[in-house]
Amino acid sequence: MKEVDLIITCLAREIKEGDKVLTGVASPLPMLAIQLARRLWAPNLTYFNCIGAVDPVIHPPFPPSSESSSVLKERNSFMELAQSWDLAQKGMLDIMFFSAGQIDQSGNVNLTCIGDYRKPKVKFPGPAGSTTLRSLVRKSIIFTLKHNSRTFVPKVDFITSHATEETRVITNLGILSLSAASARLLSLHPGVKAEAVVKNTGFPIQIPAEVEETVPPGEKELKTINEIDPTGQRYKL
Amino acid sequence: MPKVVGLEEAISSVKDGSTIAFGGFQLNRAPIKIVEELIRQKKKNLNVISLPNPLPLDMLIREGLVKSAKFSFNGFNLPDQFVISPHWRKAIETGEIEWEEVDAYAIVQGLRAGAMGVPFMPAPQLEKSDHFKFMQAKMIKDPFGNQEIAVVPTIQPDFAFIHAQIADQKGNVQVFDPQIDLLLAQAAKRVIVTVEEILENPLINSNLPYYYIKYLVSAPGGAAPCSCFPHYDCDWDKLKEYLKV
Repeated sequence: MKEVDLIITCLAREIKEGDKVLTGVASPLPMLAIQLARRLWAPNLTYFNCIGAVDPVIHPPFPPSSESSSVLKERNSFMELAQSWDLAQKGMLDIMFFSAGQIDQSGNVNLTCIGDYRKPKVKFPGPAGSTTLRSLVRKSIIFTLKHNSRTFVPKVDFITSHATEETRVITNLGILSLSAASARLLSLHPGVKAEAVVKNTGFPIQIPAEVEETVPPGEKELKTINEIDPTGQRYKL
Repeated sequence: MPKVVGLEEAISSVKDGSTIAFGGFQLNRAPIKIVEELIRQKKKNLNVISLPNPLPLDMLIREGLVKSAKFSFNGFNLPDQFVISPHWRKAIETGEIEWEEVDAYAIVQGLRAGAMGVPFMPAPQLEKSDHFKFMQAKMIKDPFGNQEIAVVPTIQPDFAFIHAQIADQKGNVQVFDPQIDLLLAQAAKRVIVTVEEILENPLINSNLPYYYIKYLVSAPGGAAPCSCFPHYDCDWDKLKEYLKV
């Protein structure tokens, strides 16, 4: 089993039947997760792609970019960008997935820079709409493929989006729950030791006495991911 | 009615120091032929407002034509990697330009204020970021209630540059995927549109009507190497060449 397939499956499991899901810029993994959920257990989810396509039908091969114009081909309707916030303000968006440059122990996320904001050592791509949308959608999931002590830091250099009450983070090592009160490990991916999480997290993290193992993608899930992305676009990301 | 002109004439109306904004979104329908003409005519000290639309801003920064920029996101999701806008990144890390980074909602609401002709617009939740301390935004008291709410100032760019699919002889334009373009056209003082094709017959369902548009230019391939659905997709090789990856 490949790491990316596990993460896609974990993201997909956050989506329930009937959910309204929006993907932002540079979001190929969430896009794959949405396709997986739609095919297996959430046929009636509503999917908004940020380039405006509503409920796009995405045929293989998987688009070369999450903002590829091929996503516009087969769709039910079109939504202008501004409406994303209108929907969210009215409580009509259930879930969004956000990546992170840095994450701190209470769940604040940095997508802005390393170092001083005005004279950054390293500039990140920026918030897109994550400051506002993260706090407006019903459930925001943070994900990163780089679970290390440079990503998980005691204090982020810049707060691009504030922690919500509880932040669920899906990484290449496991699933975490972060809040002002505590940082906890919820589950470990198969083959990963708890020590690896402790070592690669730059702040103290509670490890339950009996850690759950993340349920790996089953045969059906792996088969479906392969159908969605037969050329393995996801492994190149 | 818009004047149907060549690209050179349309862009010669742009003054140095103008505030400009681009239609299209990310890799789709970026008005690249217009950007190339701005560069050819060496329009200087431009103030660029960029909704996620990385290539035009990066190209203008590369040529040293940008005085200031307001933006929310600058990166490219390519087929096999994610690339941060290279010249933009360097300009910020070396302090070459004035800049303001904001959540995209700040620009959207600013343009909405601009389109309505009002001085500011609420943009709730913007305060949930350190950006709030650095950007043009304030908390005010809701005059009808007790809540504090974030507001942003109006945005009325001197020019909106839009590349669209089709237009008719009268200058009515149809944008197949009007992600931000219509709002931009309403907010801007002047609108310059390039299209893939100007048709003989009148459009029956134009969403960007002639009265918004100052100049209309026929410019097939006007978004390349970005895409213009359904005419062409991104030219990934050219994009990679530009991004040096």
